[in-house]
Amino acid sequence: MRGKCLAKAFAATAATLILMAIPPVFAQESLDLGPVHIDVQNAAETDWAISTAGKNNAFNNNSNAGVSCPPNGNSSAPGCGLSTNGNSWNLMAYRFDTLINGRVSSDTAERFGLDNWDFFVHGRFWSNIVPLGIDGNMPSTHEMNFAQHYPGNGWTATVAENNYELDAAEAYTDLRKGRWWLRLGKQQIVYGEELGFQTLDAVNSLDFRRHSIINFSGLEFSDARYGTNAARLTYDVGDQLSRFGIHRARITAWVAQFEPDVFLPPGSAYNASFNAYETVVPGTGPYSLYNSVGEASYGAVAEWSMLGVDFSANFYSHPERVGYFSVAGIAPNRSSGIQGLNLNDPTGYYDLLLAENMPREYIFGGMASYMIQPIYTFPGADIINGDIVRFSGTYTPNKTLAAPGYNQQGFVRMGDLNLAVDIEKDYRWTEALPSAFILAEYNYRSASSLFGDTWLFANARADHMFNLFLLSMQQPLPLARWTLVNVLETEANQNFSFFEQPGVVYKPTSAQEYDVFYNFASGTLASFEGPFQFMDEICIRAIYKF
Amino acid sequence: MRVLKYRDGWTRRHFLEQVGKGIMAAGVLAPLWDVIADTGSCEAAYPPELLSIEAYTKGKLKVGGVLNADNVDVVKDILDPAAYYQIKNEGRIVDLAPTTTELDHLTPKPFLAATINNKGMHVIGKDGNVWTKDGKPWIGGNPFPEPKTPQECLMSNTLSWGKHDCFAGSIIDWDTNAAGDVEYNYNFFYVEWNTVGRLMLDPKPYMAGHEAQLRYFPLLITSPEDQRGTSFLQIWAYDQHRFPEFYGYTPLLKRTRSFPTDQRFEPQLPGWTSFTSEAWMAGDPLLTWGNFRIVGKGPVLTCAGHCADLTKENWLHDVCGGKTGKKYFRTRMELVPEAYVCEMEPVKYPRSPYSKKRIWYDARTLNPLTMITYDRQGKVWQQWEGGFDLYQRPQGAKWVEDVPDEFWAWTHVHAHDLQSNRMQRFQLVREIPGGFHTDVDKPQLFGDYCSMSALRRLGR
Repeated sequence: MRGKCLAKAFAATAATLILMAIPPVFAQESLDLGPVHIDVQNAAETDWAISTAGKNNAFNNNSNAGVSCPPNGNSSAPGCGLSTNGNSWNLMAYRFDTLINGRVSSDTAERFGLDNWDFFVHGRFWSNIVPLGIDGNMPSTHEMNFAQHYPGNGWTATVAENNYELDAAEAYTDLRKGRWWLRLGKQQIVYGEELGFQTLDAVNSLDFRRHSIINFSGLEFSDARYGTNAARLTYDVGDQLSRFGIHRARITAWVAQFEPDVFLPPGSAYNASFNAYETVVPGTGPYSLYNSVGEASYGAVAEWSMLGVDFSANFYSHPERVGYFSVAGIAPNRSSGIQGLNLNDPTGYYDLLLAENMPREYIFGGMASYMIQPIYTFPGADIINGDIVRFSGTYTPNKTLAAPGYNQQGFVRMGDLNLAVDIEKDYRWTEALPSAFILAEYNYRSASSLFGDTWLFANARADHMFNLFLLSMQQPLPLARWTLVNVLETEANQNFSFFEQPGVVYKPTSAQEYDVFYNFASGTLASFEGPFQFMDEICIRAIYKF
Repeated sequence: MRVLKYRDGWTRRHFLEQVGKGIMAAGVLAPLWDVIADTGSCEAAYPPELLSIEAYTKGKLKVGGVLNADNVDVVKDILDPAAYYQIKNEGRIVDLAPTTTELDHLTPKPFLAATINNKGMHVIGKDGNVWTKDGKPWIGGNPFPEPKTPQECLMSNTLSWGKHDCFAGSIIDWDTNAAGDVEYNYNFFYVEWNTVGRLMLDPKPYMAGHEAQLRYFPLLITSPEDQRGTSFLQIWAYDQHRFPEFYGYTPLLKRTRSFPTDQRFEPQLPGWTSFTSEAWMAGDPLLTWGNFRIVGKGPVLTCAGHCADLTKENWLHDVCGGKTGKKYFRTRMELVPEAYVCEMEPVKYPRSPYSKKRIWYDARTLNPLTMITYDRQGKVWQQWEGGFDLYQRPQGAKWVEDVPDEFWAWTHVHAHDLQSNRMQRFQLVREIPGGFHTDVDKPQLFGDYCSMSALRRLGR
């Protein structure tokens, strides 16, 4: 089996080497179609992740259900259909991205009463071929386990099956007239300046299908954030309030179609959410996933600068992006031989059905950000010179959290305070190296965890605070062709755990990029980072832009 | 017939003597700005050998001829050291152009008129900034047509980079290795929008509510794919002690946010050999530098005019030099009769990789022409050579409608790392894919590009 794996890996390597050998092509296609100027840019990418965990993903092998799956080889044994025991590969993905930009001529825009009229489409194809014979220990997960098909979300411009996705990550048009700007279409809506933590960045849901939750930290959530169909309107107040000391003010409001978070299902190398015997079902009642999908997400943000400080005031309302889960029953006859819950029933194993429910939440928050002018000369001033100090916070008065143990009563509601403090700076260690970018962040949550889901479940407690610290550094080398990066994320809530990602980014030409990074996590399964211990891996990305 | 009144070496001795005495007064035969105010030309201020490369080289070089490795030694003393190296050793070829003497071909006409009209209306405040006599920000034009200190040369440069109220530039950038193979290619677009010292756009001379600011400087990257939609907005304070406010949108972060602003000596994109500090050669708040001094005065052969290729497709220059023949733009150079050679040191940057910058300023306009930076060991490190021209719409050539038929602007930059021998070269073009075109003094540029919502709207 390993020999076959290697042969396929070599074939893929050869394909990648051919890609690398192609001389850089610096062309972007552009054409004028009547009054519309269009330009197209593309990128082909491959992402490989080779497991170094040395342990089998307990979430997939049903060991929690008393099932003992073979240490290697995907077994047809009852309860082991989603086992990933013995896998060498976590990911071998190929993707293609195309960016189509359009700009309508000024004359035509004026004819429609506009100052600017642009449009943008980001098309994306992604496929992970590891389960398709690259690694015999990886099952081909069923599409429904992606929990992605809902009534009402048919117009999200997405087609996805077992191991591929084809979608328009974004597709929108921008219309501007004077101080008014309307963005209409599928789009990401992102606010907040904190990175890695979702304090104010809480509008769009997250879609983790294409990669692990940890992914490459440098991407933040840009590829995971789920673009939704929305109308977003901004009024640029500008400096009209400067007599009050208010500068660069703008107000934005939007209404969007809600889409829930999409997590990887059991059987994926990156599954750290559900046991293999658990199946998520939409649930019933007013908060059911089916009902939530049809609901609106809306919000408004005011942003301004005053006294050298950048401020924002934010309000969002949408169904919970993860929601809460409660037991909806058992299913004895699921297909594919993946059923796993051992109820001592001689006729076979069962699945545990979990109903996903998403009550509406209201989030109130704001931010203050201040740059310390790098002008101080007292001893040690280097530490503060040029720093950006930022504080973000939200309060969700009616946060919904799953009751411990998935009990039938379902959930509890309580206020959730979510605060983030961060300091970032550029620091030049020596004359020989460009400045390093350093980011230190601290996140406190009174009830929920990083992705807005329940923290109660993981700890089986009625209430718990969540604390997370992040330290990130990027050190470019001269000419910025090479960049060294390291991200450390650690928490000590229930049990100490941490995640670390050292990496190297190499851009030998503007058409090519190669990244190598290592994901390493440690901690107990009850901790926040601990479940990622099964996903320790070396990742390689190669990107070709044309 | 013109009579040579001065014997060989007279002008050289004149300039050396002036530098030795710390005299900055421009003009050899007559005070330069008296002549310019009378005639609009600098011709009467200089002897013939400073107005003609042929006269200067006693016929060894001629306008219309080519400067190359075989004849560059003739003008070694009036080239910056990097240009000499490039021509002598790297196969760079330069076409020789006549000396431009009409001042309105060397700087925008409104700026020239304001320079004359506003002469003597400035003071240097106790804080080191330039103010009007009633304590307001500068009202436009060059406040120092007759600089008395090197700091005044540099301050003139800082107060208005492009010398227009606003300017939009479409740029194509090529970055090569030492041999001249192009490894990086970027397209970007910028706007320089001045909030004070405004001459053409209402309100003049200040934008209400923006008197404490100097300029808005948004920049948008449109290619390659992973950089598409990266956009930055710098808001410069009028006070030259303060660092700009710096906001950005990157496709990886998908949001606008503030970024640290004191990274002045870093390549902004992979492959770049230039730093933020190099913009218009003095790209940092001026009073974060110090030890300003003049180290030379005299003629220089550089790309002061005649450098645009307006009849070529998208204004693209020919290339030459390096092993590949693609390392340098094939530019034109002309004899500039008088330049100030100023130096400054990064006194507020304790770990700056530079020990100093040396900048050649055209004495007639205080336009920065070329620059050499030195590393901490005092060795020559980088060159930043600018090219300039009066853009005049050629008959029959493609021209974006609404763009003025005539305007003055820069044409190209060579940013050469002489230690690694890598090159970054970029030029102003008519337009880049995405629908962004070069333009000048258009009021809509502020709404289109200079706000936080524009930053978000242009981001991808």
